[in-house]
Amino acid sequence: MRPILLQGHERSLTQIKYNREGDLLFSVSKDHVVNAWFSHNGERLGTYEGHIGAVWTVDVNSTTTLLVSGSADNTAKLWDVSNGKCLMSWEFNTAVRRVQFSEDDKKILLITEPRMGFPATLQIFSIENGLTEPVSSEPLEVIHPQGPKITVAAWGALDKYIVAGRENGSVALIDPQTGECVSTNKIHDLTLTDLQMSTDRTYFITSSKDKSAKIVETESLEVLKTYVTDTPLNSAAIMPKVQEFVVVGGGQEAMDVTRTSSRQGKFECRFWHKILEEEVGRVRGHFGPINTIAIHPDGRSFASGGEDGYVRVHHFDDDFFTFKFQI
Amino acid sequence: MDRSASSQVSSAERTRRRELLEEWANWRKRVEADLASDRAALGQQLAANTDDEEAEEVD
Repeated sequence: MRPILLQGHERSLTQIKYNREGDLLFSVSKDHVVNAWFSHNGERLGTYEGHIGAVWTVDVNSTTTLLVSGSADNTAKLWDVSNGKCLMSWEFNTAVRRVQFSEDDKKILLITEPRMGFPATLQIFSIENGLTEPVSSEPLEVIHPQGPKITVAAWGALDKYIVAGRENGSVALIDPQTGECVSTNKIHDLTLTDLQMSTDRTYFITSSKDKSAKIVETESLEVLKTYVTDTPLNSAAIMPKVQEFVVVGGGQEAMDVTRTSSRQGKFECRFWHKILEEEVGRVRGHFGPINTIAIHPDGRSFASGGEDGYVRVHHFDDDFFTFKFQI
Repeated sequence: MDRSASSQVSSAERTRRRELLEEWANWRKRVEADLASDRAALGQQLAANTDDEEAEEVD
């Protein structure tokens, strides 16, 4: 499983995403740039330039026509994937930490940070026909979620709910129509760092600084599976096909480390059997913490983005596809 | 991917694993059925709305 190294970012990676076909990979970084890559060979398709701050988050719609990015420059931008043109730039009072297209591609959700007297907001924008018509600069909905700061969020199945993950380790179901918090469950001891939906969005995986990742049922917010590691986790992803695995990764910043001798092996992507909650393997390579993990929609490859500024794309060997967990 | 399950696992452990797999499969069946009926209901709702619009155009 020789990795392809994507070298095009000068600072640490913050999020990576495959498109629905899996032929493209989008990456964002603290270096202000959004990159698009061909996932099979690591060649760069193009860049989306315009942000003047760290880009925290990116998402692409299901037809790979529109891209949305959110940044520390207090803007979220909508891009034409094919030509790199910026179609819209929404401005906010604070940084945009998370963006995501709804399941029907008609809306995006975004999260703005609380800072300097501005409360955190969860906002929904219409981007329907965004490729051919100008999109509105005004949100459809602005939600001021009560309670601890929201760090991550995603649309649930059929866009019925938005799942938000908070700094105190809780997850909440939010009704996108009313902005009401329908239910909440404190599933982690420390802040949530990532939240990725399963293909049909009926369940999701969370990662936390509390060194664990969990599988949670969307509708009930009930924890179904737990994966406990020995390092703070920054990302977790569900393998959609081929194997019933999840992949988690993280690691501590060098400055937070007191004993260097135990550093070896902390910067690995760890594969766990999703259902049996047993670790099945590790993939090393990064020189620093792993910040973001994405898995090819066909389960053929996975990619990790690190604090070291690299994206590593790993295509699985044949034996991965024939591997059978011995019961 | 070098660490595969050992063949030394006890039969109790094997039973536990089988149960976990079965439990997951049953849960998935239930959730997928619920989702399919929700999707169908939503589809009907959307179709009904579309019908209304067409009716208005005719008027």
